[in-house]
Amino acid sequence: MDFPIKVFDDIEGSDFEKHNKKQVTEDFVTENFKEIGWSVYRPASDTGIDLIAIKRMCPKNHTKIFENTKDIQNCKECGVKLIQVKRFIQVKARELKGSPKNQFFGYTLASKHFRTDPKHVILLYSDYSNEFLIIPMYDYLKMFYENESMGKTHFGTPAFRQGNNKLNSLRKEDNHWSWRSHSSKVSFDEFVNEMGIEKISNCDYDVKFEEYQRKIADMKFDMFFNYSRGRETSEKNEKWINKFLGNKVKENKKSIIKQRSATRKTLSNELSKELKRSILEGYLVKFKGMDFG
Amino acid sequence: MDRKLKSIMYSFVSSDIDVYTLDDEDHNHFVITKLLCSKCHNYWHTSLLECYFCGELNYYLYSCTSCGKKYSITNSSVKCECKNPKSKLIKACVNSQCPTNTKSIIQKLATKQGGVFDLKSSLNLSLNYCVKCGNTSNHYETFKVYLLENSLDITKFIKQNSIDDGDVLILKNKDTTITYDFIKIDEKDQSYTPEFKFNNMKSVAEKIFE
Repeated sequence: MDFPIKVFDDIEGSDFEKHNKKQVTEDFVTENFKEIGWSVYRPASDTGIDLIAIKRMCPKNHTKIFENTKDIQNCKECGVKLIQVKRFIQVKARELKGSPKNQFFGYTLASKHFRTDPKHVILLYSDYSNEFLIIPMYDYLKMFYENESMGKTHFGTPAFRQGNNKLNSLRKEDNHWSWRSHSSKVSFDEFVNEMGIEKISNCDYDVKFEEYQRKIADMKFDMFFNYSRGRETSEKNEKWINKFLGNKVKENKKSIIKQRSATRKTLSNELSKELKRSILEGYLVKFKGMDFG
Repeated sequence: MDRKLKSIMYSFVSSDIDVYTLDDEDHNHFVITKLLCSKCHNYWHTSLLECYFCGELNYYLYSCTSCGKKYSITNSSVKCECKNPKSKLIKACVNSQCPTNTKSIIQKLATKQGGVFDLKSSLNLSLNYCVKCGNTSNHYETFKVYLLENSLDITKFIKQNSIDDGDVLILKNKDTTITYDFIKIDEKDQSYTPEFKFNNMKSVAEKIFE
């Protein structure tokens, strides 16, 4: 069975431009996931996650990727009761740019896109080559964590924190996907199409949820707080900042609440009643748990 | 989607809970989800920012670079009352111990960018520590939601709709007044005895995520 398939006969990915492709892209992903037995849910309200995909699967990883389990309750191979596997998919559709032999896929991910739930999945869709790169959060971070220079360029730079770090290092050359940097080339082939589906069908993310969640949080903190100066400051200051951050993150993991509570108290005494009310009603109202105590 | 189910769906939207609908014609349920702190279950706000250096939260304030007086960011044309000609209003970190307020080189870097919380600043990140307990991990709490109205034959409904463990069934009782209850399906304990103790759906929506 091929995956993904051309589900819409009358259109090509290249028929769409950036401003009108979001709907069709998400629908294309949805229809393809439905073809292989997933139930796909789309947002009814404005939210950060593009799709939720749910499928019953064997917790011992016996379910085949193209197997439809909608009408069965137990694993055909071992008889164990199937579990409901949920995947939270963030879709990034971009066209491949560059020459036919050396193409690149440019996309942006900001700090708010990195959650510590191992069920979070990044799906990169090249609508020109009709390929999916399906990467669970754990695998995505691990690729960059194990290749320090890649991690620093992705997560440590000022542009990442500004939320506009356009990543142009994901390449397709001679039918192979890889992350190219000055010093390294790391293959991304293991996430393409069926192989990506295999990755997100791994029930270890559900069965050993806490273990993967902890690993994600650890990698995320290590890479987010490995400061890379870009053109922002000097090498000397970069060293100082990294030393400071190393100590501060350790301290914050233990006692951020103490610091925040002291700041809140100071603010509460310093600000007028009117200003506090204006902030609470105007900005903090949508953040449950945020107030002046 | 059936109008009655749609009405229940919007009660979740009004409680800031994300709602997802099945991409199919057969709509007898929908999905609700929320990103929560894995320790205290408080909502995890990805659009709330914290200072890169000290982890302090964004309070949406302008601070004067000369005297430190704070102003609402709603009034962007405001000048500080200290009238220092060199003073600027920036979206600074409100923690007085933060290096962006204490160490001159970092302070300069932050001021140049309009403060830690300026829209274009590179000195903030999306929430990394829970607002309520400081924990560093979050997860999606997610349920499939079904509706059963004016009926107590819960077991039959669960079987007919092949509802899974962990899914939620909203029970609505329409008499002279409308009351609600809900059940989180648990195959080990199917002794469901609804009490219809909720007078509105908003309370049900919030209770499900507790």
